[in-house]
Amino acid sequence: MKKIAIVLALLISLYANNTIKVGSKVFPESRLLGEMISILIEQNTSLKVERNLWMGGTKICFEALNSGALDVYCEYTGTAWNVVLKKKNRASADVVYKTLKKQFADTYDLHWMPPLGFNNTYVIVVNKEWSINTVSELVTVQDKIKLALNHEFMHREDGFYAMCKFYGLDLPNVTTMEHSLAYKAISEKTVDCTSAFSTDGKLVKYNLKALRDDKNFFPPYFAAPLVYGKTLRKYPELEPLFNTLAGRLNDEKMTKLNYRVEIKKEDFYDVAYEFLKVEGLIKEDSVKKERESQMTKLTRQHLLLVGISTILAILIGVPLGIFIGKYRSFAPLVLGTTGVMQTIPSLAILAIMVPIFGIGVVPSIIALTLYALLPIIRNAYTGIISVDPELIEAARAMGMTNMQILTMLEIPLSTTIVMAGVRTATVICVGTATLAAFIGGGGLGEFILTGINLNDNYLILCGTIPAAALAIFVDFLLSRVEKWIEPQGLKIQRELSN
Amino acid sequence: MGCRGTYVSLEIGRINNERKIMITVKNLGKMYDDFVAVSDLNFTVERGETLCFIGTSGCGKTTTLKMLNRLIEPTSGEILLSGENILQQNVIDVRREMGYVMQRGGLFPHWTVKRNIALVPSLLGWPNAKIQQRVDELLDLVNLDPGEYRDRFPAQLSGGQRQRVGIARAFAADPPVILMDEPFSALDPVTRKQLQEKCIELKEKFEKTILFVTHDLEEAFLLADKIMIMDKGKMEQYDTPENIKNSPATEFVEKFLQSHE
Repeated sequence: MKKIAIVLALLISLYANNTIKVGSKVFPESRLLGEMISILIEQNTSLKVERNLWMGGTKICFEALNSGALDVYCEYTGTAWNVVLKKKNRASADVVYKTLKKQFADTYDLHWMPPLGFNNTYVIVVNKEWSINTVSELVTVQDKIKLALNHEFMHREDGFYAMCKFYGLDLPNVTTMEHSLAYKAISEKTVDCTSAFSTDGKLVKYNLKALRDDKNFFPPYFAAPLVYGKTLRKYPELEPLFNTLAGRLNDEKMTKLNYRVEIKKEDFYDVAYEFLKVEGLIKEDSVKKERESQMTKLTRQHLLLVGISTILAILIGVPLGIFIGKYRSFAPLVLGTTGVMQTIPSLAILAIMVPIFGIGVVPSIIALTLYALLPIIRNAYTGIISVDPELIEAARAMGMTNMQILTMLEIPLSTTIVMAGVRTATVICVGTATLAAFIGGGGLGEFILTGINLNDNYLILCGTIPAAALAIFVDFLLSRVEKWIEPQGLKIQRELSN
Repeated sequence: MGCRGTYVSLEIGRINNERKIMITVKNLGKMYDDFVAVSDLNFTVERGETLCFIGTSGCGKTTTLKMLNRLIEPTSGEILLSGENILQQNVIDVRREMGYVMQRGGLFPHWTVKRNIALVPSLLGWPNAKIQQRVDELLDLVNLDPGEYRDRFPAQLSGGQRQRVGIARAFAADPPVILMDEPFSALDPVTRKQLQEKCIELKEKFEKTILFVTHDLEEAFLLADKIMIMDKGKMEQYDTPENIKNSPATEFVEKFLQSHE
């Protein structure tokens, strides 16, 4: 298992040579910044760019960068201050940035580039019908106002609980939901208040009022590229390039760009490209890189994820299933272990992969392989143990060796059951592979993930419909293979007994 | 010197005797933990003879049969095949020297009739042409038209036809000994009769040594040269059908014969 992972990682790293892996978190602004960095590199250097945009939360992005699975992504000073350095004290923007720059370089060999210029800090927003204007004033309506907050804001050091303590608030009506769902809820007036980012394009769309942080609770959140140390040293052209982005954005510019991608659904690439061109950061005569359609690319990635993990699962699962079929004392252990693995939610398995194998394709394939194992092992085992003992006795009596019995009798008689297991595993894999997008594995899940975050049903369907169609198609295809692979004598036996 | 002459003549006599004796079983026993399945069996079978094991279920007759080709390993005793102790030989070689017929045929359902019959010859590495010829010869022998049945699958045969193929498979590599485990008990009376007659015909034609298990006394009297009546893992009587009928050795044998009249 580990060897296969290493081989895969090597293959991917070979392929990824001279490639800068750019990441982003799962919200539009971060993705847009990731796109800007990608285009900047593509247009000004000879390096290739691998976009791992829309990858995960702060922890996943940071772990990925720290392990070298990513080369660069845009981080926010306040987030790094609280989540990575776990600082609880407040400090000025300048002090925060300088401290981060030094500590990240010393502790992690990760390097902060100059900030891009805007401060996307947290704001508390309410429906405009409420007459309050500052966070302090929340105290006057704290019993009736209903809040919907996302997980991260609820629990982070500078999040909801800290804010309540700092302002002396007691807000009993709080529910937790995804950020984009909270906006939807607020527009439907089922809740009144949520947290937001100060540069969020949706603030305009949903007609929301930001409450002034009158006691300066929220720390500064200046965005800046955060780069893997080895990469900076290997490609010295990168640092000056990132420096050209310094101070190019402010809150107003960023909110407008966000509005374009988030609300007007303009293409991230186009918006980023245009911005860089207007700022003179890419050559006037540069041409947009020919890009594969997103649908083709993600479907291809999806099939690759499913294909590789199913093949790995077959290579491991079939021999293992046969083995425990022959040496049954191992069966409870193997089936039990894989069974337990199956009960772990797939998202959790993916999350466990991140600290061990980093992010991207490799951990996704490992997780999917683990997931596909159970049906394959179980069916191979069932196939072997369900071979009529009388036939085995006949085979032994004829002087067949154990190996001959296995290859000439037990395996051929089990093919249909094994194939049925492979079929189940593949279909599970097609579905589960949509989750790979959460850890930067790509695939059709990217549409779904983007769709959920943007509250865009069209995008969600762009992911779910092809994934479902793929599952049905694969199931059909494998059912044909199953029929084709069935030995003729057994086919006749089955038809006659019907 | 005279002493020496006697020794030589004894030696020659022993060799002559052994040439006729196919199987010698000495002190054969099988125990499962504390349970005695078979104990202290001693008997010989001559070449071309048919020996039938009979007794109530659980008497150890099938266990005895399966020890002869080591499907079950004995816990004590010796089995000599043409004078050689098979317990000291390669088990795979031993089994290929003996045909085996099972109650319900035991044919491989994913293989054609041809391939089923050819199993042992192909394991022994016979050339293809010889195998083809042998298969057709055997199908003829068991009264199945090769052209019609050669490429059928077991599912396309009746129970009796399957058993014919099972017998052909056992005879395929021309082994000197054939073991049969209740070969006809799952068949209807008419088919059973036909196959019993076929069995007598084959045995006389090829001078095979046949050992078979049955619970049908009538069948035993019909086919066997020698009958062994067993009870609780022990031999009660081992003799010709005549002698058993006329002079039952024990009370058990007497009762057994009565109950089957």
